[in-house]
Amino acid sequence: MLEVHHVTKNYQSFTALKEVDLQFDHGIYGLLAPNGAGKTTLMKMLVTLTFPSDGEITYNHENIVDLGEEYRDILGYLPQDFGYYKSYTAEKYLMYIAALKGLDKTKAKLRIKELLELVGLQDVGRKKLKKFSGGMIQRVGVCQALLNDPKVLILDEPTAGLDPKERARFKRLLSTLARDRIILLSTHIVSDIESIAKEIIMIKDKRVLYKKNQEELRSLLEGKLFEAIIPFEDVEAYHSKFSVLSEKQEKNGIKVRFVSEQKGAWNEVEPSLEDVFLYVYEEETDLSEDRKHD
Amino acid sequence: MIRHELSKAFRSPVLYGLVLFFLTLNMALIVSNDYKKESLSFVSHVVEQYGPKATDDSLLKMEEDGLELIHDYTDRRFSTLEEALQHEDSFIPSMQQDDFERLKQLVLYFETGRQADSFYKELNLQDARSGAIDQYGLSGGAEDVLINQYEKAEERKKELVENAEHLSFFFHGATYEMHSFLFKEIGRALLFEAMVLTVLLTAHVTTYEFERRTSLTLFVTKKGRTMMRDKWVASTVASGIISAFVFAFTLGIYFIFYDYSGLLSSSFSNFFMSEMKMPYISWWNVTFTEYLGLFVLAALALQIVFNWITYALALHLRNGHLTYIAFAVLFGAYLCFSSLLPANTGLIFAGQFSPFIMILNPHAWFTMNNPMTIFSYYEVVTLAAWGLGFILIGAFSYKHFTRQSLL
Repeated sequence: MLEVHHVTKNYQSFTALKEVDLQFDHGIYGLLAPNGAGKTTLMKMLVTLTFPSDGEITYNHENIVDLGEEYRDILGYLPQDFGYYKSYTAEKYLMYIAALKGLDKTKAKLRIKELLELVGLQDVGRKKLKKFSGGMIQRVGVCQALLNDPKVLILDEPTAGLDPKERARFKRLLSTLARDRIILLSTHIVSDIESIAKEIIMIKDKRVLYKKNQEELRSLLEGKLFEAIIPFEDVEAYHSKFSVLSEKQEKNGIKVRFVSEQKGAWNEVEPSLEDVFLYVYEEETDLSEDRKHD
Repeated sequence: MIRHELSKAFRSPVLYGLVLFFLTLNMALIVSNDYKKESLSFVSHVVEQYGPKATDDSLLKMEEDGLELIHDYTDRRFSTLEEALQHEDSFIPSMQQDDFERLKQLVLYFETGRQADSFYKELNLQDARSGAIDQYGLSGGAEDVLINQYEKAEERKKELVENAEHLSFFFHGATYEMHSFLFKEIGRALLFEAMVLTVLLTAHVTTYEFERRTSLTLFVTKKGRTMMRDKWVASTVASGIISAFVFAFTLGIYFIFYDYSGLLSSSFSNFFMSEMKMPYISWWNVTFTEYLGLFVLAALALQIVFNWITYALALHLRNGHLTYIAFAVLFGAYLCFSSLLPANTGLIFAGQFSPFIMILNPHAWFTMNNPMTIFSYYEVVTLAAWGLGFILIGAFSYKHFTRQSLL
């Protein structure tokens, strides 16, 4: 079990995370928060790239920093900004990382072949990485994270650069992998983790706001989410009275989706994970940006 | 894994471009003294015909041969070369060019050889000491240090005369300045070139992952940050290889171009090599080949020290360009610092024990010819102290790096 005990992370006078407590067992955990909320900082602490200013992170009750090589041996990590050597072929780069992960050559060759097939890159393994598209590079990144068959897999924005087909394939892959390992996946795109995450962690104001399953999260807006078609001139008034989560142009006005504590002559609708996300991060999200994810 | 790091070291096209540029530059430098080449080779014939040292017997034989040559062109008979040269008009105008050149060279080496003993008898190191004290404005403790060192130098001077080291034939220094040419012009160029290559290569290897944004992926692998230990070893080996290559290639061409046959076993502290008032005197009785070997070893060791300095800087800065700049600033700052040390205490000499000072005066290594570095173990102490210091700083920097945030 991977546990975060009362962790605070300061960068000089700036506090990125405060008193964070988390536990991870087998399964997929989605770390959902807008950019800049501290997702990457938390992940970098979980992979020992940076260290808590206060508190500690343990794996099977031992501090991960003290475990050192032993912990890194069961770790797979895909950073948000996955760097690579342009002049290397995918196979060569993966062989190099396999060597750093302590895999012997024969085992590494078999594993690389297997992983390249898994991500659909088996035909381009000997091509130089400089010829790869962003999506292909990201898939190579996933391969390197999985090389050592990690017990803890940490993926920072793994779907960035992937097209919808690749995203769907990636979600299927994660579901398969999650059976016997911890997968922590950070994203600000709700659809990436919807339906596959065992639990969703939301960070707000430097602290963990929720760590709940999707059902529990959706229940937060149960009976409070409504839709109504209103004249264009009433939009401003709705914004000032309610939490408007989305707007959509209709023939006879604007269809608004909003949260209200009181019931009215509006259509009550089933909340989605995206609604919860937009509601929780209302001040930090821009509706025009959100519509792209609809 | 060291093999992987070594391959990174040799993957820089800039490195190959620079090596090629430096080698071309060195070739041009070597060839620039081409005009001396022919007359230089005379000394090899001297050694072949008269033996390795200017003894009384060999000088007598030289004189006889010189007179024989003169008597081919005049009916007058001289008993000494000195006498003959007083009447040079009687034979020089009629001499063939080849014989004239031969006579000129023979007289040059004969005269120098004849003066050797008396020169060392009259050589007063106390004058050199007083000159140095005035030149550097030394007083108090600094003056005492220099007095003490010149006493040791005086002992060594007596020893070399007893060993007849000063009588070994060598290229005539005042005429050809071959010591300065090899160890000052070419030697200093080689040292600076190797330093540039070492700093570039070490910074390149140490910051490789940061420059290519692969650090976040590679430092969380099982090997992780311990990769930096491999980088240390790999960059040291690579610096050694590349420096040795540049040295071997340049010196190889030099010794093919200039004929040192017969001189390789000459004592280094010979009188013939003198270029100025003070002849070159090494602290030990070494041959030219042994001196060259010591020089190359010290030069390579110096590069290793530069490698370790750069490694420590690169570990902290994690950026190649910043590392180059920091190294250059450190070099300049050290030179300024050493020039500010008080001239009335031994500190002024302590400040000289630095690779940044050492690289500036390679022609005086292992000799007593630079008053500010007139210590028999100056090179060894400098290299050992800075080497040890930067092993400790490197180890500390590595330890610090393993606990640093990599963002």
